[in-house]
Amino acid sequence: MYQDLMQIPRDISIVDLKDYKNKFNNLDNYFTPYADNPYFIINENGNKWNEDRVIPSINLDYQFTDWLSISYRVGADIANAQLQDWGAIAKTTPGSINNLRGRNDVVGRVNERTTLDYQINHDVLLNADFNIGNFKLISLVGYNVNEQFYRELYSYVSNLNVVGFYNLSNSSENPHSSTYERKKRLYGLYLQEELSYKEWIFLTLSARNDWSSTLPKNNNSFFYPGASLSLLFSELIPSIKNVVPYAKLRLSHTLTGNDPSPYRVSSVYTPASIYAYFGTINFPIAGVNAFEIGNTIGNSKLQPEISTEDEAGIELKLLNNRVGIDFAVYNRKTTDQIMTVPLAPSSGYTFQVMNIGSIQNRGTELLLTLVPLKTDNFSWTIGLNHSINRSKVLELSEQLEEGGVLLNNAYDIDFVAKVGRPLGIIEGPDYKRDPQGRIIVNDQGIPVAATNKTEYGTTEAKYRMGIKNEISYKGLTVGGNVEIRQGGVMYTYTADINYFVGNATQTTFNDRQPFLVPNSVKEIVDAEGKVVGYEENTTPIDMEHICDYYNNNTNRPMSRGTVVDRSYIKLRDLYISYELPKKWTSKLSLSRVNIGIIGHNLLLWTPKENNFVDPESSTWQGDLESEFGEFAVGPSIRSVSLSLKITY
Amino acid sequence: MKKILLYFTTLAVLYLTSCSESWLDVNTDPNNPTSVQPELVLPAAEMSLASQISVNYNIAGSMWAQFWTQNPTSNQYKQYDAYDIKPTTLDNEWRELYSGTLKELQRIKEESKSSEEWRLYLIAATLQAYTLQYLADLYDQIPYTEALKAEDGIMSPHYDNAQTVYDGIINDLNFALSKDLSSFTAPIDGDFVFKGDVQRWVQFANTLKLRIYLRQWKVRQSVAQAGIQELFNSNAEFLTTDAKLDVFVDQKGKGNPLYESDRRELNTKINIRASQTFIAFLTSNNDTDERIAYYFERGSSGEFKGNRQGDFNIPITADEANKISLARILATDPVYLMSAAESYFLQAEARYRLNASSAEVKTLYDNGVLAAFNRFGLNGSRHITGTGKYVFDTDNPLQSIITQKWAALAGINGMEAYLEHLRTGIPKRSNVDVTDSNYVPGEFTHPVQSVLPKGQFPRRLVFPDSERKSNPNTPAEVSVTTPTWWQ
Repeated sequence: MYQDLMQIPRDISIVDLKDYKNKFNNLDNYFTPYADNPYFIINENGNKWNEDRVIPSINLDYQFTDWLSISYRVGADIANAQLQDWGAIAKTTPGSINNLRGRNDVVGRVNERTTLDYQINHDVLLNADFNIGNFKLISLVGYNVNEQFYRELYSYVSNLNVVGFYNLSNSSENPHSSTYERKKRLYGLYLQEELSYKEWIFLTLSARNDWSSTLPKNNNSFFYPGASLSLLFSELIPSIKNVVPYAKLRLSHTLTGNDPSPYRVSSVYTPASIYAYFGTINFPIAGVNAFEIGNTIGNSKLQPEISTEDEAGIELKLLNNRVGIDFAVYNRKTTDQIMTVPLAPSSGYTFQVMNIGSIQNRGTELLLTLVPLKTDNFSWTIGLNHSINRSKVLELSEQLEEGGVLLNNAYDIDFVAKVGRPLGIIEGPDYKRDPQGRIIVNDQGIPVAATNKTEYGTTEAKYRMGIKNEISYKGLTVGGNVEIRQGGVMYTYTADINYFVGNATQTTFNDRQPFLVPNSVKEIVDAEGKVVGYEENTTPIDMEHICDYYNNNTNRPMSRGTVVDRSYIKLRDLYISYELPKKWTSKLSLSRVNIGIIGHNLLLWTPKENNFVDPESSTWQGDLESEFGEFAVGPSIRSVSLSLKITY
Repeated sequence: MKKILLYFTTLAVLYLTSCSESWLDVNTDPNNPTSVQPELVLPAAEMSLASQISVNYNIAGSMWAQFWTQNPTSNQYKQYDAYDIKPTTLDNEWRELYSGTLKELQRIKEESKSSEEWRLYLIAATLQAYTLQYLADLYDQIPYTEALKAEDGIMSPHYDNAQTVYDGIINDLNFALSKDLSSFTAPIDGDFVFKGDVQRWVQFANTLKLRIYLRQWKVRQSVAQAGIQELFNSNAEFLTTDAKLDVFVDQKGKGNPLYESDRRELNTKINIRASQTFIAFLTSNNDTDERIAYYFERGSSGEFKGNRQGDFNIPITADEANKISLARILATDPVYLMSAAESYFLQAEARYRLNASSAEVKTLYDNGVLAAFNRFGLNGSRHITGTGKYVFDTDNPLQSIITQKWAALAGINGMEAYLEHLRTGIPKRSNVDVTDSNYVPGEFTHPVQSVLPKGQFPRRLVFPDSERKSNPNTPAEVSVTTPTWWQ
């Protein structure tokens, strides 16, 4: 529906379309046959979703002796859901304007989906504490068992008979039904030893080994240890306490392991469902059922993903605890990252789940807390956090070397991982130029794309920053958070569709009067089709061609407009709260009463080139895929809420 | 209370200690089988091929062969009509043909070879040869010897020249045809084309060989001549009936693939209009009484009217646009892999090339025209006798044969019609506009919105994006105006 909204021209009032049965706004006469009146969709289409979710947990502890105990924890998250989704019949009257424009009839549909989704986790922990003089040893041995399960039953019909009746019986077609199930199991053994001297030095050593159902059977175990050390200098060297009441240094070296999703090891056949451009051919056909070879090839050599992280941090409190500094530096290397990688179709498959080499993430995190003013009744606190993360693809497996790995894409824009570059560069078409750098246009005066795509930028931020301010006076507290992100680019489909329909401000260039693409030439070709020279371009972008100029299908280098700077400054929240004085609350036999008002996402500033979307929006799932950008995401939400907290 | 706890912990301990290798053995996909007999894969492979060649290959080919043109008030197929070919053009079809059609046919060939099910092998080999010839014709270099071998670790196949592919598919067809097929009589329901009829598959394979040999007549005449001579010497049989999939019904997901895509699922169904080139041809040849009504629908003013090729940016109203005839596409239309008409025209040309008598060539030609009309249940004999406009021209046999083949393929095998134009130059390309008094009806006009300059037209496609992105062995880009090996 958001797509239908975005395609409405600026001179048509959206709110005046509300009466969608009115003769000017109805299916027959809506201003275009290519989109729907959004109010029709809101009112006539819909869905109903019910979910029952139970999150039980049981903890049992048994103390053997004063230093040895055992505990057992089991927890689950069980969700049962039913979804019913329907689309109304939408047909135009024969002879009406949209019917003459060829608007296709929508025959209506009903989908039903029932799902069961649960996770159960067990931990058995054996704890032992030893005290020897000033040394203390806390020892832990654990056994973890985890199961994740998902099952769905899905059924739909289309081509409904009775208007407004959304039930699987309402069609002359048989319902199409399918099921899907997914199960994953893991068990692990782990050990953790924490040795401390007085309260000054802490040394922790840990080790874990997991066995997973989703790795190849002959190689399904993986091990990952870790170590960390922290030193409380302010206790070790008490003399510094005058200046630095608190100083702690911490160092750590930790490994973590991750297994893949289920069913990636073997190749399978799938029930045949054949691509026919906008159509799909489904079996059975003429009473015959069929299976096709699945498009993803299995990987019998799949390895777990192992991350190694080194971190060093220092925490200081200065000036009578008025200044707090927490600074950390880290270097994380992930090897054998598990990703679904596109394959060349001529190999016979289009995807494979692979371990793709190694990726590094290095950075800093800083948290600064200042209390400039503090009296008995009044205090002002400022918090500042700043982080930098620099990623780099260190190596990819041999086969992926040259072109890099395609992480995600939309139309002509690719999101790739290339060796030596940050993890996530966005590439797209570039102008094809002659040896003098002039833009080459085709016979219609529209720019042509060069063979190789060029890098438009990386998705990585230069830095992120947050500023928090809070002032309190007696019971009144006022505060707010500002967040800043600088650097990086993202793909936005919102820009794409707005260019296409002419709603983007960029399309008003030259007041839409005819113009020649600046500094452009046409190729001169001989009878064989070979380029023998260049001549000045004299074909303007006129009314006949302006749509082709802004459409990045016909003018591929125009795709650059769909990738924008994703920097922003946001007023994340602003709040005022008041805690009623004790003398009032005690009269009501209440312990505390606090009322407040808080606004979220109040203000957003973006660079001039991004007058399209909130850079934090995304529509894709998965951490890495969603870094790419958004695809017709709706506007983000600004909210204001009131709160009342009463403590008895 | 303690007793309950004791029971509980005992159960828990028992459960937890049952963890073992077998408890982890749950990684077999319950949603998809790992092994399926080839008779259940064949229908998927056939439908996959049918869907790729009848939708976008057909639409692009029919616009390039000037049967169809893009509707001026919408824009779904503009890029084809404007000769605007990019790496993403027909890329999805490449993906489906390689990872779907060819992969499945390869698996069927491997399994039927080891079980000596030679009929299945012939069917798979014929359909594979059919597909590979199209890909070789359109791209001039395609993965072949190293293709479809991901299980052997070949993820980035090198590309072979079209000539290598042509030789390879002829060898495979000959191998398949050399086998004893007499024992295979039970019908195969999953074979939508011929239900496993051995004689028809042999005919199809032989006719396909004719197409393969004739395509290389200009560039390797000796090979072509020897091949065709061999077919005639061995009294090879050719198709007398259509090789088609005629199994579609008017139900979502089960209709003709072109209908499903262009008429049922797209948001408007008026994208494909008649080209003035073809309408002019039919009109000037008194061919507007019978079969034109099967090719096109009447415009809103009751006439069969075409629009100038590639003239889709004219600012006209919906009413004016509706006066232009729409292409006639029904949900129940079959998908034709090779029509009987095409078979006769291939034989006619082959006989002509091998210096058969004029009478023999004419008989085959006449059968072709009659078969073209008979596809609609019509009798075309008045066109090839007396003052009929399609009477065989003994001075110009090739002109007659290829022109009638072109008209017979309209709307069903547009890409084949265009490839034959590239090979033979028939129909000719005109220097003038369709409205010019010197215009010869049926000659190709330069599309108004063509992105290529006048006199230039596509001779091939560019290597697909999905290969460029994932296969470092994809060859360097070649311009679409560069002729391929047999042009």
